Amino acid sequence: MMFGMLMGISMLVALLLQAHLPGITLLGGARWPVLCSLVLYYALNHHGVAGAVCAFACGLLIDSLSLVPLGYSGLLLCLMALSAGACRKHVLPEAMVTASVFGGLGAGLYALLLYAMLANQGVQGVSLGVVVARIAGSGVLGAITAPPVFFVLARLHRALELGDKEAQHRVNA
Amino acid sequence: MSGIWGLREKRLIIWGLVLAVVVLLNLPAPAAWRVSAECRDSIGPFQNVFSLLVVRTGQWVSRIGRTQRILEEKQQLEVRIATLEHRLRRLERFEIENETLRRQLGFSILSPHKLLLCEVISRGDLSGWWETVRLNKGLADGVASGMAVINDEGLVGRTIGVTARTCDVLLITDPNCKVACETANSGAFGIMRGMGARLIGRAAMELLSPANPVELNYISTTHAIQEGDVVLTSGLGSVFPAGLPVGRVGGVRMHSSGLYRQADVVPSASLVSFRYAFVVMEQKQ
Repeated sequence: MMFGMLMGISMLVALLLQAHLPGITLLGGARWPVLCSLVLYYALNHHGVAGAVCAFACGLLIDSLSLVPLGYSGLLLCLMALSAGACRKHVLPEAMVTASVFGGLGAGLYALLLYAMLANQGVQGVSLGVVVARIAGSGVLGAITAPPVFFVLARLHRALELGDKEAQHRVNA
Repeated sequence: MSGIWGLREKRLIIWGLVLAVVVLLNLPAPAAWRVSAECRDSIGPFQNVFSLLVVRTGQWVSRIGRTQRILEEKQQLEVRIATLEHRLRRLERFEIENETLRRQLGFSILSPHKLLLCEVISRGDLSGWWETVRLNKGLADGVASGMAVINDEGLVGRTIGVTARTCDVLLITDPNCKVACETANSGAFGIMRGMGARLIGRAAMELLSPANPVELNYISTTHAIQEGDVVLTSGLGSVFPAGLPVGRVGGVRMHSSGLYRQADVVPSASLVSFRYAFVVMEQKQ
């Protein structure tokens, strides 16, 4: 119950931050991928179900609040959460380097695949330079955004004793 | 969370989510729009409050800066002078606010159209691929999809994606926004199209990416058109009423086919930082 509430509130705050933080011109106007980092946090630090639920909800929110057709972001974020979840046992999810690498790769790939899907639907007029800058920019911003998001959420989960028991057992063993 | 569910339940949830994504991807357009509208209207109040919070925080920070300056002066001046200065600054702020509101009101009264004043609650499409702003008025206030949006400087865009309490505005700088225009001096007609964001702007961080000048296409070669000419909406195409100021011609060139001319138009409305906009509801009687 508490876990779900914290996830819901985190999603709302992340959504508001992503909607209000200005994009960076030199990076093709790329937005700060706060929601993407949130999904990666749950996928890497909790069970795959938590990551997938968070990915689905975040995808629904992104698509509802933008002009992206419904389901596109949900699909991409779910794939990202499941892929990150599969790597979970081979990485140190609490390390900032992990957050940064996964944040960068995740946000960059998300932007690339979303553009590919939108281009297929006929998004017009965005020049190649802007597309490349925006995809690379999303990766850079993802690498910057993920560590603080992971840090804050890990602190919150630890403070509320909502850590993943499986992971704790694994670490203890 | 993982302690509550067994492996079977977890698999079921994941398959359920996969099914939900497939259903979402295949929803018919009206049903998909209803889901989106419900989400938007649920998030709208939070965006409104957050937007207000951002503005208030900005004002508070600037007030701190101002107070800091006053404190520095206070070391040199008497306490009474400092107090009076602080009061004067407060009055100045009210005066600026008063001036802004008067200008907006005056513009609304003078306009030949019935206008609905809206406030910007969010800037830029969340995915980053469209140039939009979100306004705090929607179907409940009489806004419909495809209405022109202006501010006291000129044309801003047109409404798309209208929900009960919010609406998105596709800005004229977006490549998907096309406007039928004419030049005020020569009456040359053309179709204006946004040219999207550019990589180099005035500053590294902007609320919206600085846009390229919009492009006016299909201008007849027989009309005289030159730099500085005022561009207005022509009223053709039925979305934008005639006579709304759009911008000024920045440069004219012949299209590579040699059949028509093209012109760069610098929008008269500042699209990067405006806070209020008007939705053009209908022509006044």
